[in-house]
Amino acid sequence: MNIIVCVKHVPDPTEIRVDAETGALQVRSAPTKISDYDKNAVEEAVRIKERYGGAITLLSVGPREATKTLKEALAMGGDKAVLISGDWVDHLDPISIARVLATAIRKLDSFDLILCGDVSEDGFNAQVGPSLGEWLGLPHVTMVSKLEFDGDRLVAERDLVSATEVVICPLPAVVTVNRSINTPRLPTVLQVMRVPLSKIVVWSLPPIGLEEADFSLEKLPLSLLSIRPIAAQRRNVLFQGEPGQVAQELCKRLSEEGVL
Amino acid sequence: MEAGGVLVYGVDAKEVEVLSRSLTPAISSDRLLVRAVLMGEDASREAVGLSARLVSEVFVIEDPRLGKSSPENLSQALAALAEACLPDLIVLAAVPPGREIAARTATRLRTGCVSGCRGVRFEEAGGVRAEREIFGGLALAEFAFRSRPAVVTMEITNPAPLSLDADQSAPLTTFTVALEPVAKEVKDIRAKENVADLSAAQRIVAFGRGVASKEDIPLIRELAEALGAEIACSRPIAEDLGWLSVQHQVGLTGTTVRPKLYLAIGISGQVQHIAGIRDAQVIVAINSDPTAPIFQVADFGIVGDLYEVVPALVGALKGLSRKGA
Repeated sequence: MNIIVCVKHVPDPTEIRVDAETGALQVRSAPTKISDYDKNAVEEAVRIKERYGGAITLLSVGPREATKTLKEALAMGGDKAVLISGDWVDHLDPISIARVLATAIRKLDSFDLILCGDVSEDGFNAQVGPSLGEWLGLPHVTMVSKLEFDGDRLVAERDLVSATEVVICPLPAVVTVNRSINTPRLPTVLQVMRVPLSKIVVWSLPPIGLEEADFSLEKLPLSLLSIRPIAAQRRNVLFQGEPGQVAQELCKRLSEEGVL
Repeated sequence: MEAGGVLVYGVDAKEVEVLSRSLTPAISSDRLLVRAVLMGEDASREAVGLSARLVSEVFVIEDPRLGKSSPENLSQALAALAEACLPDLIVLAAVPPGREIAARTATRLRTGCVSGCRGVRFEEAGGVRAEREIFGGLALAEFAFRSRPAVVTMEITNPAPLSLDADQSAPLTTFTVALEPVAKEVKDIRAKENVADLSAAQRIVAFGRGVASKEDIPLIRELAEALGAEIACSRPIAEDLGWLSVQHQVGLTGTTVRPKLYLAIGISGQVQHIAGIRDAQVIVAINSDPTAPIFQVADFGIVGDLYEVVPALVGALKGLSRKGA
């Protein structure tokens, strides 16, 4: 079972701060990491490999720093990694990211399954998985909480809001996983350090048959006009004192507000 | 066939109706062409009765292979229709099926897609702009579409009902597509038991990592009962620790809630959690860490040990109800 896992290197959204003076978002200073949902995808791939054999190729479209994410994924059990990188990466919309991924995938060895997270932790668009399926002419299954195989088909459980759906889909297919599918193993710092950089191939666009000009700002379908931090407008009233007293005060206020 | 305007895709007539109504305030021109499409085995029956005040025409694509669980087939059909009727904007609902159909349709049409929009509008010169939250709700980003059609999925809100003239149904137009259907099938659907519908709850008591052990949850439940509230939790409690099922999870990847009262106990206030509670009428935070970000988004806050404050609150509430307040 040869698997390609698409992973994204993201700024840690819990570390993004709003500059108090300018109101601007401080994204560049936030630490970066592998998107959690993709970690679940890597873990699932490793479990499938442990059961059925085969090879895992990790694929990412991102900045050079994404080698950090790929090393972590390799340490978890990936076999090789490919990073498509360049300055043009910054302003890609999800459909364009999926296009680059698909183009790279066509250059790789044959595969049975493509895995990635349902969403990325920074965009939360949930577009890349299905879009990748469309670019490659493959079916997709999303929100997968359990994945099994039956011959040349997959049997997936999907975690819908009020129901669990069981889907059968022929391989090859694109599967996006949710976070309840597994608990990812944690490679040690030493294990990650020991991953040789030679396991990561870094390509610009020409090696996969694309040009930077294809993704110039004028050619992309979407342009980002502005980003405005959303300011929370709440009263921020703090109750101080010993528990019995603050509890009484709070109840009184809530009663006055009519929310009790 | 006429070109331009908006094409609304809905899984059923109700979704079309809600989307069309959500759209109208954002797109102010009365002369804007708004058309809808319904697909599936019973599409024409479903389409009957959609008001002509909301949409000027309903495309009906009747095909048993266009079932709800087949975004691959549905997006083929939607793209084919878009290539025939050339809308400037295609709108779907920002729910999982809509998202998948939108992504595949936009890919097929070689255009862009903005998901989970809070607002979309046409500019004077005809450009389409869409606004959505990014970084887990920390900021609002505005995008302009360079490509056509623009594809968006809209957050469904509950707009004020229009008084509709029941007699004026929008005319139906049959449309047929050649499909390359996908061999994917749904084998089984099992309804989940005890589905906690947090999205409708009026009062919610939520807890996070400040609660040290699973054995302490009854303390939180006691408070929830005293308040007549539903119990909920932050992402780590459900996803990482599994102390409560993910149905109880509030936040960007859990449920978005709109209660009158939201109590956040031992929750630090990560951006993704806040994204799920922004529409709460009153937010109360209880946390031992005075620097916890939750206090910035709270109306009322108590800096203290939840193991002391929660029992005190239970006592105070029981005292209130004894007084008949």
